[in-house]
Amino acid sequence: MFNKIKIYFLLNYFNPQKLLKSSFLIINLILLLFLNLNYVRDKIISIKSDIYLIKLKSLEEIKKEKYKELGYDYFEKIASLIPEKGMYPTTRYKDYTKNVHLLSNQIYSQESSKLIIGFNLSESDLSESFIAYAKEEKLEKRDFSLWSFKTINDIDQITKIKIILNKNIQYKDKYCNGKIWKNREMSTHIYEFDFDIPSLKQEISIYLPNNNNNKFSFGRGSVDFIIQINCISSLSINSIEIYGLKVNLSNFRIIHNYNMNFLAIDKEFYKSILRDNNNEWKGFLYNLKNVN
Amino acid sequence: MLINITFIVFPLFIYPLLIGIGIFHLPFSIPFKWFLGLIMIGFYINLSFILGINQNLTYEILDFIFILCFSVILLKLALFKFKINIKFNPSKVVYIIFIFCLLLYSLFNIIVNPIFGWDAVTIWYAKTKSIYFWNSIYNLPFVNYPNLGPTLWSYILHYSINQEVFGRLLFPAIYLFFFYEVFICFEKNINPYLLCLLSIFFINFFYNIYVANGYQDMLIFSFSGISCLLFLKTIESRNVGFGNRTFKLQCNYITNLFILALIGSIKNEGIILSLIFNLMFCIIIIHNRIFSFKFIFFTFILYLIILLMWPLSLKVYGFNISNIQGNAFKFDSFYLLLDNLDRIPIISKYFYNYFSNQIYIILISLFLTISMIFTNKNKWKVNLIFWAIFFLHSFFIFIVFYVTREDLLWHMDTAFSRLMCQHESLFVILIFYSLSNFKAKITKLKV
Repeated sequence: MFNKIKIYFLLNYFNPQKLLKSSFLIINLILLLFLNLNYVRDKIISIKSDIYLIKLKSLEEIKKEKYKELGYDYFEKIASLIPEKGMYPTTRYKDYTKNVHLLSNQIYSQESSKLIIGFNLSESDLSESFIAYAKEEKLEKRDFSLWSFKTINDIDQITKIKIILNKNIQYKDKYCNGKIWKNREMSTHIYEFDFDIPSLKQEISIYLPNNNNNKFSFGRGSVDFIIQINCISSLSINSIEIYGLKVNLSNFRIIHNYNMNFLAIDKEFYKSILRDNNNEWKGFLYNLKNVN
Repeated sequence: MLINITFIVFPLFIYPLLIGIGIFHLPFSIPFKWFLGLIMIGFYINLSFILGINQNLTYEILDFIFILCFSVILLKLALFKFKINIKFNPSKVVYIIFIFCLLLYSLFNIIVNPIFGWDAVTIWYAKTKSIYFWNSIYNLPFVNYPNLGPTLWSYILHYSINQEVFGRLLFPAIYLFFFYEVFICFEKNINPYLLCLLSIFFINFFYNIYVANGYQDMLIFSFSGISCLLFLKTIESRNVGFGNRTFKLQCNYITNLFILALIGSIKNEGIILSLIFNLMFCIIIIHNRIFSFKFIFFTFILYLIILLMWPLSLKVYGFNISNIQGNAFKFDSFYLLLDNLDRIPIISKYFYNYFSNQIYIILISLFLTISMIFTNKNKWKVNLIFWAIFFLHSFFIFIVFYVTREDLLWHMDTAFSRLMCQHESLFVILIFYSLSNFKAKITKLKV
């Protein structure tokens, strides 16, 4: 039986005239359906479950379920309470911003830096932690050294640069200067720092000042930052480590917690609400109690 | 929910159809008139947005046009007798049912999977919302990126309800329309069962996540495919002696140029793809002396104006267009050509993987092209043009990654397959075109 079928197909597949015959093609069409029966069955099951879900839930409920990990529900609850129309809180995640405000049907056009919603952030995200190793760039001229690093995730502040020198090399007191450039073009620098290398020290920690700009690295993808180090005479650097704050809440006060999410408010702004008797914003603070 | 779904039918299917049938007296099929109506609406709203015309006025004029078109159609029906010549054969019925089922599947799939991808949300849906609320061009997110997709998306939201899922059906609808047109274009020359079988296979083969998730790449896939079909119609109908032939040829050619020009309004890299397509088409058209040089030159100028509409308007509004793709590319990126030689093996590896994945489609296309060279001495040049487009666009993609300022691996992982799929519709048409000529040759030999 199987041999006959085999012969039938062999004869047909290698015969161009029969290949274009309608009856043969219909058989192929049915065969194709039969061979993909599992595929077709999966599609039908998928459609069935989709229809069931559509019948059972509204679009908003589907959205809340799908965007659960993005904190869509919590964001909507908080944003809808804000008295100024179109304003929405800054959102922060473990990795990078998800633009959850765009997923809402409301128009949120003005991001407020006075309110921060944190989603699934842990203690380590709120305190200084290791961000990246810098990689040395090969240069033909060695007047200075260049190091590149990428953050990938969103980082509020760079707090510390740790330079580890090569062992077995004794440095006498040395003066160096460094810059962190925004990108490889090296047209705008973000930080400039000076440091001395005390003798008999292999590690130098440079603490960078808090420049009140909380958006050191946002939505950059993997564009490199460049560190440039100039020293009076050559310096043999083994590695450079970058430390920073993923989410800087030093000027903020957490006023609402829900599961792993929180809402923080700028301390000065909070004081001004209480001081100026701003009823609209006071109402906002009061209504937060009902968010759960 | 199910009631809301019915609202999409009007902006997505009925209104464009009204415009397509009511305004244009062009020698195209009804589904093609729907497509033409849809892109005309997109073009009109886009233009209105660029010119800063009030939103209410824009949509009031559009409403007026809908009513006007409806009246024209009613008048036509009352005054003239229409013969609807729709010939159905079993394979066509099966095919249409399949397309309809897939459209429904896409709809349900879209509804239960709200928009998610980074580019889809941050770029395309953000633009859609911005155009929906008719923000000023200065407040448009990712202003350097063009707007045709988001404009059409926001138009559907305007006439249905403001839920992004409804607008997204637009993308699978155009994708499926392209495959419907493929069927219609070749049904006379290829056995309908074979055509049905292969078309269903191709629909499934190329149906990927980017068809309905809000990314614009599969829209370019469909537009470039439709443009290729029109090009084939132009060069093929040249040899057919029917009345008012020049008008039909010119209609096909101008519509083709319009669709090609709109590719530049979908994504910036579409400008290059569009220019490659047009350059190749022009070579054949000039070689075959289909139109006068004057006509080609004049239409080419119009094509260039529409193609560069978005960058030109950005320039007029005072935006810096030298970094048209943000951080990734600047015009001075090309100074880095000699510095990036170490990238060649990495990019080549991605190309190798791509060719390995598409090996069957590429080999079949190659085999059919070689067969054409030996069997059909006149028409194999068209196949060669398709291959030239494929290689030129692949080379452009190579250059894109060669000079990118983003991290190469990250950029290739996130964009390579999407960019390559923009020209994959070529293979579908190349295979069907070769098969249709192969069949014609056999028939000719028998006679």
